[in-house]
Amino acid sequence: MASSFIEDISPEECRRLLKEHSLGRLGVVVGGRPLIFPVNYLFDSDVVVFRTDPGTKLAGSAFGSTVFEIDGVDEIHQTGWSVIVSGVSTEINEAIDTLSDRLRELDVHPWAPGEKAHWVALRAETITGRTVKRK
Amino acid sequence: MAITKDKGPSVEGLEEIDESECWRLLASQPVGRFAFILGHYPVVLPVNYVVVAKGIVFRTGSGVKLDALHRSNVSFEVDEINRVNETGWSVLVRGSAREMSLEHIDPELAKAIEAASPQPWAPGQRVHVVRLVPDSISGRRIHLPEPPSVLDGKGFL
Repeated sequence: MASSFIEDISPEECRRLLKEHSLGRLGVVVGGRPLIFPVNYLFDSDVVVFRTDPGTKLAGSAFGSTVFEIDGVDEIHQTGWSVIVSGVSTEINEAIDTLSDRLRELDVHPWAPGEKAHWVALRAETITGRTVKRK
Repeated sequence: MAITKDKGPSVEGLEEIDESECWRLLASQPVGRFAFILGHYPVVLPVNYVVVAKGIVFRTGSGVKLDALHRSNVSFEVDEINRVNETGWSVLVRGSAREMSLEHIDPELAKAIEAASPQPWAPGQRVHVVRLVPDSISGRRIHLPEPPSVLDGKGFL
């Protein structure tokens, strides 16, 4: 296997990857412990939007520091990439600003069953990505 | 050992995965995601890992991962996603992580870790071996919707 190296992914490419995908992993802190949950999402205007039901995800992301990760893995070549968005997330069900209005119109389509009536927006403060490549 | 599970309402189509199946699924993937707390932020980083003696073992260099894991609770997640069916599963392990010095642990365990030592895909001197010891493990699976009753094995004729 050829030797590997790490490259940063440019912010533009990170945004492109975020728009191209629809499933990522949300990291929240609940009771002093970090937790990770897969969620279906859309990325628009530097905001990660997802829908959830009352539970741990909502409690952890209602108004708090949150991280969101997507990645792609190539098992055969043993390469991969990941993009990480961090910022503060808020529930936007009752928000009256125009951005929230627009985000609630997005076609966010959760695979998991349930009403998923709570809309949560994670506004990106930082977006970074790295890729493992082979020569 | 008792960890309060904060479950949402249980819904049809979403199955809780039992512990032994969680362990089987955990051992099935090459990459998982390791979460810890740095400052006030949760951090999630993908890592190559192996499962040894009911612990999750991965290697890392001397960066943020190593510094932070001594000070915080950690979690580890693996999943498998079927984009065509829009189904999948995920397993979440909660616990604490410790750096392992292979010289100072049970020789049998050290041997098992050496034998299964995860070869990270990323470059660099990943000389530190970290073992995540679980407090709890849980998993959920999204099922395909039930097929329509007309297909219940009765045939069409």
